[in-house]
Amino acid sequence: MEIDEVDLLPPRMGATVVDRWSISSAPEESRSPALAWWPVARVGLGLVIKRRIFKVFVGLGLINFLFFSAMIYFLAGLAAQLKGQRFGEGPLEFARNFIFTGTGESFRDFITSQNTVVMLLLAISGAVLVGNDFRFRSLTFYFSKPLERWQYFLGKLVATSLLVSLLTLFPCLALFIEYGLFGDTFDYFIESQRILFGILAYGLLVSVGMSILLLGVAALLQRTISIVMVWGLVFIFLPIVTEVLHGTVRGSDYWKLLDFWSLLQWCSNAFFGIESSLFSTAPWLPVVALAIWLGAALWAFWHKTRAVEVVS
Amino acid sequence: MSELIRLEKLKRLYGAHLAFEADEVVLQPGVVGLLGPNGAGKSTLLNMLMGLLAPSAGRAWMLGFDAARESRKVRSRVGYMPENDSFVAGLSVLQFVSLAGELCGQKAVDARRRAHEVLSLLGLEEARYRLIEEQPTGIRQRAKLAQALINDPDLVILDEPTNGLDPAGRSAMLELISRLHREQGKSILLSSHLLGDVERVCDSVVILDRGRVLAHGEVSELTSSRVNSYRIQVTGSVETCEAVLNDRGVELEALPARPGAPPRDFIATLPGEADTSLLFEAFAAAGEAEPACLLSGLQPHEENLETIFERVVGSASPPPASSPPPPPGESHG
Repeated sequence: MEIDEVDLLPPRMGATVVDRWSISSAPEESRSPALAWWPVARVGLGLVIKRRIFKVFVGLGLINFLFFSAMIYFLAGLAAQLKGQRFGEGPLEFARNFIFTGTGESFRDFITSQNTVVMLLLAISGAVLVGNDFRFRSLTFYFSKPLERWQYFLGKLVATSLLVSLLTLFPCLALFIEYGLFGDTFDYFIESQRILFGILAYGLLVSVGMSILLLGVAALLQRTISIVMVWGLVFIFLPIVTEVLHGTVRGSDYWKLLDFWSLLQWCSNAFFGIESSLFSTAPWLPVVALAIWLGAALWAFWHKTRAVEVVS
Repeated sequence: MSELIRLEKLKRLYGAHLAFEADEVVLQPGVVGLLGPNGAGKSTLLNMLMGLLAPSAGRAWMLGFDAARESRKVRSRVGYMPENDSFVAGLSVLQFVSLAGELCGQKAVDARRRAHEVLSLLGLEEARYRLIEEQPTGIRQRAKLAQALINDPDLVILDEPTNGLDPAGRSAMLELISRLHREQGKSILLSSHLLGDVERVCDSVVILDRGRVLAHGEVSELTSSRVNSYRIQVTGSVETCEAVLNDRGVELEALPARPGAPPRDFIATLPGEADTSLLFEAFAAAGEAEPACLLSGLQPHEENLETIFERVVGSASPPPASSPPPPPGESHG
């Protein structure tokens, strides 16, 4: 073999990299084809995480989490100090009711309070995660590789869901564990299986549901400003309008079915086993309404990716 | 690798519109040019070969794999460089090329090492850590080529690889393509409107027009098929000229003339082993005929890709008037 030019890069072990035009052969496929979505998810997540705005929203979410975490610690300390003291149970019970009680309602409220930060984060991240793939024709690049459309969708869904879970599901699980650990015994974990189920189910619904909604909106609109406007319409304007209509047209809960927040809230109550008077309609109607929301978003995403021509 | 591409009665229709049709085409490994005007069916063919578009009838094999049924395997062994910019915004050149490797199934660490190697191969060492969308056209074109090479493909499909490049950049890209075949042993399928580019690097060509394969084969074969041809210029009666030459078995093909004017330039293909003496003899007779015709110019006809293309596409029949256009949003390149 003639040596034209010595490569400055260290050669791969066992490879014969000695001249510029002799490169090692590509490694064999080492990942299962079914996992082809993972690089899509990892790159998508990386693109959002390295943005400064992401750190701002994580900071906002962390403030809420730290507040709840500190309150659990405070209550545990208070309980230890007041234990056995006269009138000790009264103030403790008051504090528990007022601050954080370790019940399904409290964990539900934590996730719900995080939803606002999640909504803002997703509105800003939509273009980075999905919109830019359409604008910069990244889809041509993705689909020319051995990657199917459903794997691309799954990759993006996992990336977005992980972002949302980072602010909702994971901190809520941390609070649940913290609350259980600060008890006198570990009975809380055994007695609160319904709560754990509620946290997992509601956390996943928020993560996956809002991610699907974002994928649909971002695929359709692509630019940040447009996504923010539609996001505002769905999560701010529509709840106000439905509330007004609900108040005006008395006796009708159907308007509330247009409110995505109300649908999530109804589901969370069902998951945690909390009685709710949110909808007086048939119980399947909110489920159908939520399915329509998500179905429309899925259709939009699928429609937009199907229209992509790899060779055009 | 025995055959690069095999098409058997392959057909793709959009409603009633024929986007592509080929009876039987076999292409051997090498550098193959895909030629055709807009709407010829190049994109439709490439989409079908990569398994991204289902044929309406027939089958296509690429690298021995059924393109429709083994689409994933095809795309694992093929590198595709698209015509237009298609990047993942926010990634550096190195990250972009590494991602391509990971999508082909390589581990992240292997993909990164391989990306370093490919970027060095293409002379992109200095640009590797810069954001890809901020790079000039030449570097972006090379980065697109790098992502196509990351999986060490048996076949590299290049769609207008010299698009947007200045003459120096174009020349460098073509040299790179030639070396890929010569020194790396890659087969290349080059789709281009630029016949000069194709002629410079390709061993064989496929010429398409209006969805049909008009000619395919090695460039040398296509040119040698008319080896006993001469370009002649005549004055006087064209009819006399045609009559005397046809009597002697000479095929005459008129070259385009000014609108309204009779043709003066012809390509005369002589029969069998005949030589130019046949032409002189014929024109001696034509000069004595009434009205007369004289030979005013004679030179050997050397075909290049451009003349082959013009001849093949020009002689193809026009499309049926009833063919509706393809539906919007569907591939019909």
